[in-house]
Amino acid sequence: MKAVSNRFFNGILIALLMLSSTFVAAQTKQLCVFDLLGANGPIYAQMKDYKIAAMAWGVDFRLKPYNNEKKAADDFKVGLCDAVSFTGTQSRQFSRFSGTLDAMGAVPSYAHLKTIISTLSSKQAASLMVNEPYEVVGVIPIGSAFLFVNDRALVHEYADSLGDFSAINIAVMADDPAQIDMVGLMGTSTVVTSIAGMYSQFNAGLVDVTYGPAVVYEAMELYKGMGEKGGVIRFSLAQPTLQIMTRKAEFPTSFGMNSRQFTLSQFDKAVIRAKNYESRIAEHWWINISEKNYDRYHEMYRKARLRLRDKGIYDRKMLALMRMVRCKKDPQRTECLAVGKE
Amino acid sequence: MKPNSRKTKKKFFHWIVLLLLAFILFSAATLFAVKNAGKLLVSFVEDQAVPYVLKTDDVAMGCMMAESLTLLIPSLVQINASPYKLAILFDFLSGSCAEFKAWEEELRYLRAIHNKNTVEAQDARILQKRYLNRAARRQLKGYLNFQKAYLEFSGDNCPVLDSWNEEFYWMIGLMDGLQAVMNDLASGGEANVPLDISLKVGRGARCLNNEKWWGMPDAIQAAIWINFPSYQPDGINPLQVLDSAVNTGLKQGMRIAQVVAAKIHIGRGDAESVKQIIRDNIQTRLNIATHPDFIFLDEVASIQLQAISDHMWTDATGKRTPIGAMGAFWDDPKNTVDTIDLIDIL
Repeated sequence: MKAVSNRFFNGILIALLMLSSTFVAAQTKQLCVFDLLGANGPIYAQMKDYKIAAMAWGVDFRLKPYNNEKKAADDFKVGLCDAVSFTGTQSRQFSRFSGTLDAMGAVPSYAHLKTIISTLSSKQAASLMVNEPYEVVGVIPIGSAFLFVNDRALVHEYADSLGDFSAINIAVMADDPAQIDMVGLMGTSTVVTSIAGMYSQFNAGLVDVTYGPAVVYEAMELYKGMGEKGGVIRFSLAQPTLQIMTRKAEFPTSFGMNSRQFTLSQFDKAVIRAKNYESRIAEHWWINISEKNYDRYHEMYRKARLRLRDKGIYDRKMLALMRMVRCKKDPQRTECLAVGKE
Repeated sequence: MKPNSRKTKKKFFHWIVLLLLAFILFSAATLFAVKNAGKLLVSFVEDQAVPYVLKTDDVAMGCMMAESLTLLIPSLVQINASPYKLAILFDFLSGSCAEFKAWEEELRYLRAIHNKNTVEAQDARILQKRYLNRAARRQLKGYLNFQKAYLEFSGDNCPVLDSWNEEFYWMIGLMDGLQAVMNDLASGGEANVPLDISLKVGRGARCLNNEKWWGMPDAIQAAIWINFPSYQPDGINPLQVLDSAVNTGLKQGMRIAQVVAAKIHIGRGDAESVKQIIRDNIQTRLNIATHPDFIFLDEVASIQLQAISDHMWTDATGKRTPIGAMGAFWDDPKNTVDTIDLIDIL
């Protein structure tokens, strides 16, 4: 009788376990995807592959395209999306830590970025990726952001006499306080606009400087705005990223870790794509800067980051992590010995 | 010398001269024929064969014809012809063949997702990207041929398009460019299609008369405005422009602008508008006959909309549009069934 009863309870237990695993496998979640081209775009296509990978971690994503990033973020905020894929700048309102990844001048190369994202994808960093109720479950590079100028002469002025550029107009996005503050610090006039208008204003000559990853050079015909005298400054201004964020409690426990490992495995592919777009900018457009000016740029951005950190826009821990990576790769940097370290 | 022998020599000389003259004439004629054969051939295909094919309705055969012949078309340059316009069309059609295959892989991906088979889904995505890459490469070639055929094309101003043919190949060239960009982006960008083609195509569409070309120019323009909102003029609602473009085509029995509209709505995630376009397509077929000269193009629109319907059905149910159900959807309200209660006669 006891054996029958044990078998009965074991049977119930197994059935419950099977039921729970079936439940995990069947979880359907809405993933809102920002892509300027909506469901026809390259980010949405990447998310179709991500969806397959997520099935193995117990989540069946329904993808919903958005060509307006703010709308995607708003829908995520009010719970219309269980997960969202958008840029780091937009993610800052949910996680200041991961939103600081695109801090200006903080990541000089893709090798630096790989070390940072690899570190963030490790078990040790798992708690840093959570800002209840949100969790950052993936970071994919978009490609270094560069400055596009309509007059090469601006570069020399810009590098040689900091703080005296009231005549230069730089277009910045209205919804990024870091950019607005940064431009304010440089003493340049600000034309606040949306990402949509940023490049057409540059092409129309309404602003002198704009910035973005190399992909926008061709897509937005920035060569028109650069004209005969302009160019692209060969200096990685920032490392914009694509970030996937979830409402942690609604996903299986190990989802975040699995997802971060998967997106890390996509890093090299994303960098190859970014470099391909960089290689499409003809050599004559690139403006090389001297080592002296390179250091000056870095020092200027470092001070700006500290200022933004103190204003609560950038996250202290992320800035420290990025500084540690920079100093690991190049211990001779002045900032590694500076008193006011990030 | 004997008089007979002199006569024979003279005759021989005459024959030689005649032979030489005949040879020169023959060579000149051959040269003329060879030099003009290419021109004649291209002009025959452009003026007779293409309009003939446009009146037919077998798109699958058109696709196979293009896949078989596209490689040969550029060789006509060697016999003094300018085959670039033809190449625009053949590259577009052969690109479409690769697109058809990519659609099938998209359906396989969706079925695999439906059946929770991740390996199958990954395999389908790999093959889908290969086909999209092939389509992008072919359509990029078409766009490059478009640039050779219309040397004035800079994307900023319009050349004089003084014949129906000139305008037709212009429109196909724009579609080559647009599809090349979209397919390259969807497949990971390995075909290296220049991204600035999109904006150039938007400007190029303005060179065509919207009414004459079944609403296609405005539909293309609306697509560009929606994807690049900063280029949208003040006071213009691109979705309204799109609706009006579709209606312009429908009134003439040409539904090709519906495909552009459906793709835009897919991009925006607006499934209801896509369904409505497919319903309208079926409905208008009952009321408005297809333009007899362009049955092929209208059939291309039908096939593309069927592919979109299949995508929606497979995503929702695991299988494509049932036979006879084009224009209907799995979640349509069910008809109420009228029955009699049999309790009294049982």
